Amino acid sequence: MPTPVTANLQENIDHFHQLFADSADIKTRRMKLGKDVKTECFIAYVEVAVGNMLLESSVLGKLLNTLWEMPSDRILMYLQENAMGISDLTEYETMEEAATGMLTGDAIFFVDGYNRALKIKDKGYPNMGVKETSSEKVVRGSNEGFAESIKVNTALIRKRLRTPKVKVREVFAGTRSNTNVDLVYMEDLVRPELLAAIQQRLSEFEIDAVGDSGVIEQLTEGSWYSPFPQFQTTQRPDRAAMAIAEGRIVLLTDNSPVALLLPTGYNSFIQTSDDYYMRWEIASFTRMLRYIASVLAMVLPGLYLAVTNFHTQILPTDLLLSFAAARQGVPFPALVEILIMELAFELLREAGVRLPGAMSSTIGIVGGLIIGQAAVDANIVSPIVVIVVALTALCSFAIPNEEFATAFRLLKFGFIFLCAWLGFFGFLMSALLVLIHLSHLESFGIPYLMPFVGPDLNDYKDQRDMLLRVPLGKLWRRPIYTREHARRKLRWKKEKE
Amino acid sequence: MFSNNQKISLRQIGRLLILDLFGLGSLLLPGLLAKTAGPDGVFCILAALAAGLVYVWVLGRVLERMKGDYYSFMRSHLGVVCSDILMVFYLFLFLLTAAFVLYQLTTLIRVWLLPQGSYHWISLLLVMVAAYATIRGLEGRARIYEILFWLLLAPLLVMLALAARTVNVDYWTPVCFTEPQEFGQGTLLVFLFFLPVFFILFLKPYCGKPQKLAGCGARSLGIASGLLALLYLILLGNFGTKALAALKRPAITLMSMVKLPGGFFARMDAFMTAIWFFSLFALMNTSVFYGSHILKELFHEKRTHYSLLAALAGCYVMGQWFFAYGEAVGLFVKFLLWIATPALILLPVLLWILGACREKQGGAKRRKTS
Repeated sequence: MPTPVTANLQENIDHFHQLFADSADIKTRRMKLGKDVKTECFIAYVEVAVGNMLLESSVLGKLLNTLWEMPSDRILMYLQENAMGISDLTEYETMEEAATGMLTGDAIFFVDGYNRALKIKDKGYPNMGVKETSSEKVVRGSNEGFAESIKVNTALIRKRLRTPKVKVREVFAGTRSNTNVDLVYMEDLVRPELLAAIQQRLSEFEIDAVGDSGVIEQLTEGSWYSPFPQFQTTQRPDRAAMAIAEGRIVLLTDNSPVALLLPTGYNSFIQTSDDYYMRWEIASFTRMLRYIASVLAMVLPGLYLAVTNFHTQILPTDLLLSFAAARQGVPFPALVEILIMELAFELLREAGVRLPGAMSSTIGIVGGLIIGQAAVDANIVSPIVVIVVALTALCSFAIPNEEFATAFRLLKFGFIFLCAWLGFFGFLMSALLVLIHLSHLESFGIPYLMPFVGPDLNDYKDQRDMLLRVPLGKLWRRPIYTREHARRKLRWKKEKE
Repeated sequence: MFSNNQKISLRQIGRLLILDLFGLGSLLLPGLLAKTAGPDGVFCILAALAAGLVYVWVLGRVLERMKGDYYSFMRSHLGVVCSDILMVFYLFLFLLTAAFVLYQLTTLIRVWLLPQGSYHWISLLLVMVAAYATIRGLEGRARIYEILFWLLLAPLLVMLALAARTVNVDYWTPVCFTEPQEFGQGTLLVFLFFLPVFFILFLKPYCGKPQKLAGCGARSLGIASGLLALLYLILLGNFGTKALAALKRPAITLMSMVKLPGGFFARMDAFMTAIWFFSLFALMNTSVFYGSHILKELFHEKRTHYSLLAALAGCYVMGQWFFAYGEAVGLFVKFLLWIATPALILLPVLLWILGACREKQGGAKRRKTS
């Protein structure tokens, strides 16, 4: 049962202290306001989250200064009449709401005789601020990355889409963390059923705490067993803005610099922001490379095993002999060789991620060059295997989205085992299984393999931005994610006339 | 959203049908056709195409009169008992086709990819993958072949273009030397491979644009025939009639002979087996799907997958029979020739006539009452 804020300040203070007993980081202060210093008030805030309350630059400072210069009998009237009019000020009727409001990083303000608590915006919790994005680097275009504060992130999107049609719907997730989750979308482009679906899924669970958008992602995706992500993640505000302009929804989570985009599909994961900033020829070429890389990242070691262990007739004799010569002296079967190298590579990657920045490049050199060379010299693995594994790793790095690349990294081991067991038949079986899985997979009702499948649903226009990206002038239609009858995104002025 | 409505597009149906018609036909037909009609085999394909188009036209007339699915249409025209018996026949045909294709697929794998592989294990693995493909419904399955279509067809066309360089056109002659009886046999043989086109009767409830289904069937038949004719001509031009007649799977043998420019690959037969692997798998999967669909209809099953499991088990057991019993393939061909083909042709004709008569009667009644 929520406790209402009363006009009796002492009651409010007692209740507040009760709520925040044993909380050393919560700072409180009692003051007397008004020219005649008669009206008592109480301010509470999270230490560090609120700045100097006497400064003119903060809302809190300005408000206090105003109230100090005011006769006591006018303070209540002033608050009643103007509280809602002051920007960055929120009124609460219950103590619980007021406490939650304070925990968002702002100050909470009680005045004797006034039965509302006021939340006053201040600098909020400390966060890292806007920084250059660490992943999804582009050759051309902005490198601004999302920050950890949800408010900053919504502002970064607003900065790029300056239209009132961009809507931000706020929900809270986590019964204990009370984390802000914002759904950002374009009102006239989003499919209403998509918006309803994500809201429904967000309301379907209750969890203690939401540490990152990854928690939301896992709890709301349809096929939890799939290695393929059904949300696209991005740390780039321009990518998020672009998605919103395509009728997709961006899900921002407080304390997370990673935004979730929905719906998504194979094609979306392969696209990058600079695909649209660069000329179409090079954009198409690099995209095609990425597609090939995504397949090779999964199949290459398996294919190597199938060919060298089962179907040597495929290779010309000279090449086969050089393969055999390279393997001379290696005591392990090719499967073990591949596994040793793949696992060593995964270890290097993991170590590289965990180590501090400067050291991670060292581990790459140590692992890649020294250990690789030593392993070949010691006849533990053959040079061909090193080449195959390195090429596979390169291919996995070429996939623009880390989560998406992870699926291929994992499936690679399935291919390795099936190919080692059944040769090219195993390869075909694995390929078929992956294809069946992807064909059935959907992201919020949109088939994952769109527009490779069902391109007729958008008059074959989505195929213009698929394997190849046609010149920008021809990309006049929004993709299938957008609601029907709102898919025109480019119109030439001549055409209008 | 637009997915999960259990409807597939004409493009998906077309691609699925082409793979169904082309897969088994391209694997087995050239050798058999060379034995029967020699260089005139290509004319047999054209004659069978003409017959196939007439057949599709009849199916189109039936589809026009069909309100719901094929089963309810049969029930309304032939009665419950008769239509149940016919559905059992269709079930048997589907399962037998699936089993035959499973047998062919497993044999293909054992010959070209895994010579020491166990027939039982390979076929079991294939059946399990088919179960995974079928269990999630028609839409996903249609998407698989929509994607695979060009992935399979493009390398095949490249290989055929490369193989065309070594064609000896003298092998294409003499033409019009085949006896009418042999020509007729050849045409019938090709027509047998075109029979899966009757699947369109069962596709109507799943099709996004059912009024265009017959046209889609005709188009698929035309494309599959064109591909078969092209393949036959190239095979004939490379091997000659006698050698072609002696080969069991000449298309794959041809792939092992084609030299790729660049010299990175010595032969491509193992890679190109993928074309027949996927297309035969498509036909098996389709047959199992319709088999399970009929079982569902007959036993009024709603949400469970027992019928699918039963169809898969039936396919696997019959597939073992093809492997274990040497005469099984001969019996299957006899069944196709003497029972299935006449039934598959006459039944739609009968339904078309019955439907037309009813329409006439209905029209006369309406005129009387008005």
